[in-house]
Amino acid sequence: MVNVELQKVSKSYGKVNVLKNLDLRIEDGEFFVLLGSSGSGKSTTLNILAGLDKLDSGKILFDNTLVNELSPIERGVALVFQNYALYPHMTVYKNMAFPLKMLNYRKERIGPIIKEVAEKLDITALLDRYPKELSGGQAQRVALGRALVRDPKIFLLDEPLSNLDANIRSKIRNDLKIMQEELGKTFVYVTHDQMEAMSLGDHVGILHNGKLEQFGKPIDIYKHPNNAFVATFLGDPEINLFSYSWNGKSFDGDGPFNFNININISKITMGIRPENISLEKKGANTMAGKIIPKVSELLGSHTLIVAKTLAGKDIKIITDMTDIPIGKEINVYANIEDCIMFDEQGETINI
Amino acid sequence: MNELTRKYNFKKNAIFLILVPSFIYLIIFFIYPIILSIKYSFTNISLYDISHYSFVGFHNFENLFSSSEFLRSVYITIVFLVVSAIFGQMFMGSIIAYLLTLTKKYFRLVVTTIILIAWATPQVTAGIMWYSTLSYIPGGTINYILNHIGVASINFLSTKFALYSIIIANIWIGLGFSVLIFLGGIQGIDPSLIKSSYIDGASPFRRFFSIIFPLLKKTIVTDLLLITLFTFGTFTLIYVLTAGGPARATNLLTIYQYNTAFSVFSLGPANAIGVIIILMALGISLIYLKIIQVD
Repeated sequence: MVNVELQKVSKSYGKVNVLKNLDLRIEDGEFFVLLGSSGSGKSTTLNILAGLDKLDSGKILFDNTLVNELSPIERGVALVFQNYALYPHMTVYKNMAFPLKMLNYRKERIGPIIKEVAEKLDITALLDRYPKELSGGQAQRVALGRALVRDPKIFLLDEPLSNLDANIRSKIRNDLKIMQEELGKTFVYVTHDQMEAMSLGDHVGILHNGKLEQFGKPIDIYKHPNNAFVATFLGDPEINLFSYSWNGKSFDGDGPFNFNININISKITMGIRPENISLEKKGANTMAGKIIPKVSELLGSHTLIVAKTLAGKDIKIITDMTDIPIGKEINVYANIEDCIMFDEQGETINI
Repeated sequence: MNELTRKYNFKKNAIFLILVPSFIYLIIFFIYPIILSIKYSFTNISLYDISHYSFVGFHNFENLFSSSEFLRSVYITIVFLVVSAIFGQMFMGSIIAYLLTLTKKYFRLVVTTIILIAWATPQVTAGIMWYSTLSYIPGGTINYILNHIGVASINFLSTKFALYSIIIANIWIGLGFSVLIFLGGIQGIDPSLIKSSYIDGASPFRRFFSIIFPLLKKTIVTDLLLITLFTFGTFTLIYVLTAGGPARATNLLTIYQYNTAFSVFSLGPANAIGVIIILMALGISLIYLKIIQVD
């Protein structure tokens, strides 16, 4: 049971600054997701947390104790790798026994621990197999098992789902969430997939070029992004962004709507999520505009419309309607409260 | 027949034609001599008169296996192989390669190059160099140093020590090759497996013996096969250094074979020894493959 704190952590490889004064606080027993595109420094953060990499400056605190110089085993962390990193020359049993052997546990003590963990993960039948005889999902569970036997304080997971087939990915994602809740341990999960971040994380940190762009509950970040980068990163299909400028009477730009807000900046970027645009007028204070649909994709419960605004800019809309006239102008409506405004630097403007 | 298939057939024939010279080369210089060697091993051919000989069946082999000198030579060769090739070159080479992977890139480059220089040294040069290092009268480098720190000279090339000396010389000359092969092998291991062993708390010692060494199976087999053949064939270095002596203490099979052929001019038995060397090398290679079980 630990909370984890990073204070002003910097790390560079050669001339490349991977992490720049990173501050992060992970609460005890929470499922924390670190989200970032490749090269954002998320794996480096994980390696530093695990004790595989030394940091250049800053502090790492586990329960307010400095662990900068401690080895992975002394920190009590377990790491699950993207490719599972099961030792190919050992059976599942031996893979799981390896961390315990390294702690000089006796054989009689190792057996029961592995039996218990294997039952919990439902891999008892696999104990005599070699890693190459396992499916992706099974290997995933064995990797988790190898992490579990040592009863670590913190679990670090490095994109553990990205090597799995799409159809079992969501199942394993649920399993992970349930497991974390049962264990009540601190999980730090690194991913580039915003969907995983949104669905798993108690808190999410968004990392971009070695800096933490935003930290908070997934829904808060989704609704109130700090800047345009975060707004674009979360959400699938991604948020629509349009540039607007003040023409003396209202804001005018390449989006479908013109609007009037009380702000003393002449150039702004307006963002609106695809699900916040509707094809029917509802409620008060609604902005109206026109678009020309190009393609409509039926995604089961809803339809994704890819369209052009009259100014020729792409726009994506999610709607419940299925019968979309392609190539004809149609009316669209939205609420100004659902829009997020960004200044020229991409920072969010509070209205 | 259309244009395309004609072109294709021409290509197939052309490849065959291009390969013909190398086949001829292989047959003349490799296959034929081996067959000839096997044939002569069953004859009493002698350098005194190579045009007259007769077949003597297994007589040469029977003589060899009843000769204590030959059996001693087999024993020396096997000790030489096991200690200098398997333990010295392969085992030590893998450990040195592992230690090198833990060091900085430039240090690794420099050390690897230095170790490799030994491998690239001409064997006669290496032999003379080792002789001048180990020599007793006049005192070589090591004895010179020993005398300076007040220790009496040791005759490294005496009956007692000569075998150890040639083992060390052979480790020295072959180590770079194994280090190079293992460096490649270790770098080919999935880095996350090695990271994983850190997470699991393996000490550097356990990491090497429990994770890295077993994962190097293929590299080990490749290395063992090659250095075994090199070591079986070692002649120049040892001949220059000890010439099989003193009192046949370092009489490897190759040196024994050379002496049989060119000191006593008995080509038949010498060829029989050659055949035995080939069979031993084959047998040992099969043993490696059996023990290590590469899939």
